[in-house]
Amino acid sequence: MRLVALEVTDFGPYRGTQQFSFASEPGVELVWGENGRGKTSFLNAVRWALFGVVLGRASSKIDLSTVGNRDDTDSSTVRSFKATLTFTHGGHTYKLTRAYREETDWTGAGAFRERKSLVKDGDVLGPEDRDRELANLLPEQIARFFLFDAELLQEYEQLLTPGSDAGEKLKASIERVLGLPILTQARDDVAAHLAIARTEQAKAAQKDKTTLNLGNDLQLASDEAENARKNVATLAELLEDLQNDVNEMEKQLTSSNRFRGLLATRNAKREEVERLAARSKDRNDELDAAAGDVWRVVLAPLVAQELASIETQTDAVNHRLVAALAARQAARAVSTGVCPTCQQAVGADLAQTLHDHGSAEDADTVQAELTTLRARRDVLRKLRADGNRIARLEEDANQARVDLSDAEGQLRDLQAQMDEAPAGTAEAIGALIDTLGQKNVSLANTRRRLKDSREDLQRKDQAVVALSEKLRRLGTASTGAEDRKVKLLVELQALLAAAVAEFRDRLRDRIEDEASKVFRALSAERDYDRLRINDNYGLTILYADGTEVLNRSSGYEHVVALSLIAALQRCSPMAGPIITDSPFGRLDATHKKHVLQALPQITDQVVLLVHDDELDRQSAVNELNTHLVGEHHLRRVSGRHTEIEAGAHP
Amino acid sequence: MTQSANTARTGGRVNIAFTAAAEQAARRLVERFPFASPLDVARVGAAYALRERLPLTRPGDFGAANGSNYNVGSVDPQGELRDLLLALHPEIDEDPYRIIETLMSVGAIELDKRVAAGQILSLRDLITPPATGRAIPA
Repeated sequence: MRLVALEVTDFGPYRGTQQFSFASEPGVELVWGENGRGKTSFLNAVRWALFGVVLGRASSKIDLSTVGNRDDTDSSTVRSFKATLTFTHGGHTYKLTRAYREETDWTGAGAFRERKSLVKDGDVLGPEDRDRELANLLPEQIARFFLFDAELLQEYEQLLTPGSDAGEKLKASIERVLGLPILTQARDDVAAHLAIARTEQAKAAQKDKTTLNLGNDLQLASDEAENARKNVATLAELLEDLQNDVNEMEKQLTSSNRFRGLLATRNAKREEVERLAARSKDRNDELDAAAGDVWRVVLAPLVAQELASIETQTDAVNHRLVAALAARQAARAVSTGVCPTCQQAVGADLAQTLHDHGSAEDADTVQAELTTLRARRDVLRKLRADGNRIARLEEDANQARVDLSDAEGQLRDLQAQMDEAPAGTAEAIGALIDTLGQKNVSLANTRRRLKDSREDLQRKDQAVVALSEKLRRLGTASTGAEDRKVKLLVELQALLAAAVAEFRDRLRDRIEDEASKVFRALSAERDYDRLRINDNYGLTILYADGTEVLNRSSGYEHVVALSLIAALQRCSPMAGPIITDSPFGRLDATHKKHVLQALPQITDQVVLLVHDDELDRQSAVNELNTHLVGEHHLRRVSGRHTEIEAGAHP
Repeated sequence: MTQSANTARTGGRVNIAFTAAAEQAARRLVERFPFASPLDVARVGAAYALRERLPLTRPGDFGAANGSNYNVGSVDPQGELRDLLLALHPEIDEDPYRIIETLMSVGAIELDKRVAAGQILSLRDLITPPATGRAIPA
């Protein structure tokens, strides 16, 4: 398939009818556009024309009523839009038009509907031919390998997670682009015929007395297996519905991220305020309890001063007491003529000297004074006061009050911001989270039931096979024809199952080989040697010694994803253009250069939607060289109006 | 110290009270600081007056101590304040609780003035004696 032209009418920012002509020679075309100009809308216009879907962030489908160009701020008005894609395939020229427009029914009521038409070589195809052609040209399931953006590239990491739902879907898409469904459908068709043949075998056996019981058993076992199969199908369908519901709800929650963030912050702040209020109360209680001691602390400096004074006074009084006691002894020596200490006689001269130096102070009076001082000292020493503790408790209490006040202010601000949201937003999100929780529980339960049901089906299928085989071995005439039919179909089924396995193995080997070749061309890391593929087509980078590269960067995720896409393009019976939106965002300069050099080798027609910061124009021109076959730019007319123009930015 | 002084010091007062002005000051201080009641302020006021060496005798404009009555046992349950007062001022020869009654009123009023003047804004300010702090003139 090769794209020739795209005509858009009022699609996203593209107002009125605008034409885009793709280059006719093989190579790479660049479409330059700043953020918000309409690069994603361009990709979506092609996607809309081909598949009737418009994708937003995280591959979510965008509501079509919001896609039409509008020149006013009234978002409630739904606008018509249209895209026409002209392309060639297998020597034919196709013109595919898909429109979203208002139509009135017989009652005169208007409603918006999707309308599509396909013109092949000038002839308008009828609905059946049109749908068959479209399904063959480029099935939607494989669109991701032709129309992709950086987010879609990121999803390839899921292939490395065995059993993940996204990985399983991706695996199915890969096998589809590689043509495997031709074999798997044949295998499944044979299985369906085999089930019918066994029913016929049972009916034939029931007509013969010798095989009646066995025929009945086979009939019952077949019925049970069929019921189990229906059960598996029902559960698989339910699982898909639940998964879709969960995806949809997760997208809704993602779109309310800001409010949820605010809600979480508000709730956390509310808890913080409660915690700080409790802390503030505790600190105040401690301070209140300690405040009863403040009078002691106030008095403490005076008490300390007084104690020092008492110590000095005590020293002086002690000296006076010693002197008074000595004087008392001297007086006794003078009055008795005998020294009371050494019992020697005291002469008149010595007695006169002692008398002259005698003290007038009474020792008992001085002793009483000393006792009073000591009593005062003992009282003062009892005072216990810890001023530092009270000061610290007061500081802690003040700090706790300030912290609480700050947090309360922040809580008020957050609440005010939340009050700006429409009424009921918090309740709606809360309800959505609850429902999502319930859906996830149902999803897990359904997954478990499906696993059990599959095992049950397997057991029942084995019972059918055993009974059918037993009947065939009896070799009675009544079931002969059916026995042979069953045998043939069993062999055919085994052959197709082996073919599917063989084809898968070969494909995996080939993809691993091709992806490794592309990877070596794209990778700037010389130590990275090749890629290894797993059962899901997930690719792991290997060093030369065969060890795995663990925790590869998101830039290398993209390099690996591009390698896989290139390998699929080379191995697929379907060849088509690649249109990619902002694919270089996570790549460094060297990898951008390598990707630019490799792109022309991947497919004949590549359209890159890029902005200046993502890709330097001069480098792009140099690297692409003769492979650069066209440049276009998206010119801003207003915030709601972009024009597609030929050539690079002026 | 005489026998009569000793008798006077053991005292016989059962209740003591703030003056009207001191009671208002005490209420303001209870609002301002983490004191549980005016009783706390009574003790703090007395301690403050002692620390600031305010006169033990009643000034001329003291007025009547006719505010709420507090039992002496509530103001000074263990007699600790009384004992400290007497240890600091052994010269006292009258009922110590009369002096405490004086000090708690003049101390509370003085403290209230300093708070109003912005000199004491916290417990830390209160428990840290000013280097040259003296009573604010009325």
